[in-house]
Amino acid sequence: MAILDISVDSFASQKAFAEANGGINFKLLADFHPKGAVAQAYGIYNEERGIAGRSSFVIDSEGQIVDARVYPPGELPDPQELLGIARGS
Amino acid sequence: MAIEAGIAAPDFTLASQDNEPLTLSELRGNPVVLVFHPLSFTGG
Repeated sequence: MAILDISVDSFASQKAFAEANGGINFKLLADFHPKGAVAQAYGIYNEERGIAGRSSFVIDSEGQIVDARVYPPGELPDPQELLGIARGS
Repeated sequence: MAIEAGIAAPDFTLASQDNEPLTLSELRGNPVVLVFHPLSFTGG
């Protein structure tokens, strides 16, 4: 099981975020060079604002997407629910 | 439009907070939860 958290952000601010949260047990990835390329590949990049839309994807052990969600403003992913889907995939 | 369930996850290689490159396809054999968020300092 792996949890990957991606933002269109520089490595330096990602590191600061991880440290500010007392060390995180999952990978923070910077989608920065070129900016937003992975977010674009997943179809959730907001060109106008230059940010990734809040979204989640559960990928099974064969590399297939089994669950894809985009969250409206104010709504956050439920980590336990996503982990449950991943465990069952 | 966001990509949907049922297709292969687009592969990528990105630097992690450890400054180590991580390639999605190298995690094959394990389920992966991938979360995108707008910015690190916007409360989540």
